[in-house]
Amino acid sequence: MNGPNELDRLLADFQAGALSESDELRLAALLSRDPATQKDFAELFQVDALLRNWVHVGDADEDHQARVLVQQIEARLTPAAPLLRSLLQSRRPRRARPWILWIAAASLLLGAIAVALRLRSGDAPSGPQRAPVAERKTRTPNEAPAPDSPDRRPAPSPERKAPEEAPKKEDVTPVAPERPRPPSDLPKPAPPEKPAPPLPPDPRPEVAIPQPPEKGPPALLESQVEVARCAWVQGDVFAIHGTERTRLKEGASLLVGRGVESAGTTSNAVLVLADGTRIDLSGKARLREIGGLAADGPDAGVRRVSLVDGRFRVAAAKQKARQSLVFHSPQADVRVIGTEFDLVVAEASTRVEVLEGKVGVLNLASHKSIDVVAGRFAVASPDGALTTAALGSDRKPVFQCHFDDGRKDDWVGSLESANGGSKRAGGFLRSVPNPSIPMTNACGIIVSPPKSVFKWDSRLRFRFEYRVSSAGHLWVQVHPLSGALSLDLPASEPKVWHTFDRSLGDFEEAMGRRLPLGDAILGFYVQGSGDRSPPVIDLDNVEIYEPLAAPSRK
Amino acid sequence: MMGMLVLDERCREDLTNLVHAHQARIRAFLCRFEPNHDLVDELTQDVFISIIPRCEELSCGDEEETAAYLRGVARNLIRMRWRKQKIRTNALAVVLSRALQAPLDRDADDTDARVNALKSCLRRLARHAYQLVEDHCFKGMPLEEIALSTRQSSAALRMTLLRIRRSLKTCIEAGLKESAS
Repeated sequence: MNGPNELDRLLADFQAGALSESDELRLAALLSRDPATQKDFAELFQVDALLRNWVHVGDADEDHQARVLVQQIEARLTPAAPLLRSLLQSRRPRRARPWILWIAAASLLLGAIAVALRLRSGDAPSGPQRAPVAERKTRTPNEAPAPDSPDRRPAPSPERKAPEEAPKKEDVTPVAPERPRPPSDLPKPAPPEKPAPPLPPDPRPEVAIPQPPEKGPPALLESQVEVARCAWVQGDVFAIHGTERTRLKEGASLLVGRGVESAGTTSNAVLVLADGTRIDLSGKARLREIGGLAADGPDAGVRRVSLVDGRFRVAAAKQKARQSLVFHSPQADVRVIGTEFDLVVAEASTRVEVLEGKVGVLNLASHKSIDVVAGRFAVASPDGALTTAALGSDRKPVFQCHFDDGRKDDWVGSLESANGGSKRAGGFLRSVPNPSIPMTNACGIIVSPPKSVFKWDSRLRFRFEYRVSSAGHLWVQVHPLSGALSLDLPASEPKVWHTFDRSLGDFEEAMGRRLPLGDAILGFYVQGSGDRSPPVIDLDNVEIYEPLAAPSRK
Repeated sequence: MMGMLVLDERCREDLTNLVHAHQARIRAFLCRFEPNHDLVDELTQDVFISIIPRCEELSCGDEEETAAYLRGVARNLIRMRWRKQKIRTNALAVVLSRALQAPLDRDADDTDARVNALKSCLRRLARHAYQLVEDHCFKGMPLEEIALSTRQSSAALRMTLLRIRRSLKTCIEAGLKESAS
């Protein structure tokens, strides 16, 4: 292959993160041949790195950055901060020999047991459990206090650490490494009157300064492994670690074991796992944790994502040989190979809707498993049931409009397009059955005559797919006779298709008022607004449907 | 207290001052060598954590000397990361670290000039090129998604991005020469 062209292709692929292993070797070979190419590569690398970090360098609010950085540093200096702990552990001087300490700890433990036994025998007035006479003979009157003396305390044995070796509470710095420390690093002696603890001392005294970085790289602990990144976020979305909740930002990384919570009906987040799998959280959703790739054991090669509840769309990347991705919900394990599907996790069931490819679903209660192919869904219930059916067979559409086929007989309801008009006047632009409806700022479904098609039921759902040309907001409105209800839908990710799927009850919740059942609905509208100009909205697959599980509406 | 990692009130104040005065430059320096911002963030924290025992001394010292010292720490952290990568990964990581060694070791820090040059170069980009950089590099949109919306293949987009980076590189070099003269 032609040298420069190949180099360009390899460089382009490298910067897009799309180099295969053989191409990596090829690029390395090409670069190592020529210092000028190497220099060019280094310069390009720096440009690319700066561009990727641009929002944090070029346009950043430095003051805010500094404040956040101070907070992050302080957070890492808290006793439980795992990162600092790992930093400190890994940078501990090489002379540290933990096995010596373990032996010392074991000796102390034995010593403590011996002392405890001796005390116990001292308490016993007589009988076979008394300590051997020979042992008691070794005591001097001073060393053996009266049995009930309040200051009775075993004399320090040679194996036992002296009281001064026990860490004083006030000496413990904010950071507490869990590994035992070498004796030379033990804290300063405590006053002798402090009682020694009965068991080996807590090996968490003051902490040494991190050694200069040249001393050796820190071991990459499990807690430091980045398993996903937040590619996009809107609304109230938080990263969760134990009881800590921090607002998730775009570009933030998620370390192994962390979870994500999206709060509020209009919050959304997109997570991209290390293997390229994309998980969309929409509305209220909780993801307990994203696990690392298990290296061994029965789960070797498995990455687990634990879900608590909510709606998730997963576009799973093709998994490598002997690797698999498992989504774990309270009711089911969903194993994927490379596919796209929706997951709705609730207390009562887990529902998997497969859009592309195939997934294996295992009901955790009954251990029944089935493969679900594209166009079908499966529901796993806590009672062990695992059912599957064609997508859409469990809902009764009362209105459908798929613009890609243009067949009017798809419409169950009636759609009437209005002439273009200003937003203020509440007019609508022309809606025609096209692959998408390019609207300058609004589109809607007008029901005509109103009473014949839709009646208000909070379980009725309004669903459509949308894409906006630029960042802005969408106002999704429902107009019943008794007054309009709307949901604000931030649309900050332009040019990407998203799905809106909300019940009319969500509109009621957002507006804080309930509407009477059976109220006639006049229309459904989607309207755009932006800072400068409203975004152009493309809509497709508009659907108003009644979930079949809903009670009949009479 | 030397030898102990203690963040008392005074030390906290010194550290805060140091962070406010230097974090932007350190971050920008790190951003040149590490495309993943989360790692940059972590390395920036590491830089300041490792100087906690010398906070007082550094906050009283000459600002340029302190900046150089912090840059030295940052440089070491990057080297350490590369070393780890070399052990773990492949020949490309070795070549990459070797290629970046020279700009990393350069004493005179031209990061500010580079960032300013890049800022003005970005302004001069054609609209569609800027849009692509914004979507892919700033917003992190995968090329496959951009390819879908722009009806181009992702391979074509990758090449376009490479050309854009090349033109930015040339523009930055010109800008650096201009500012030096």
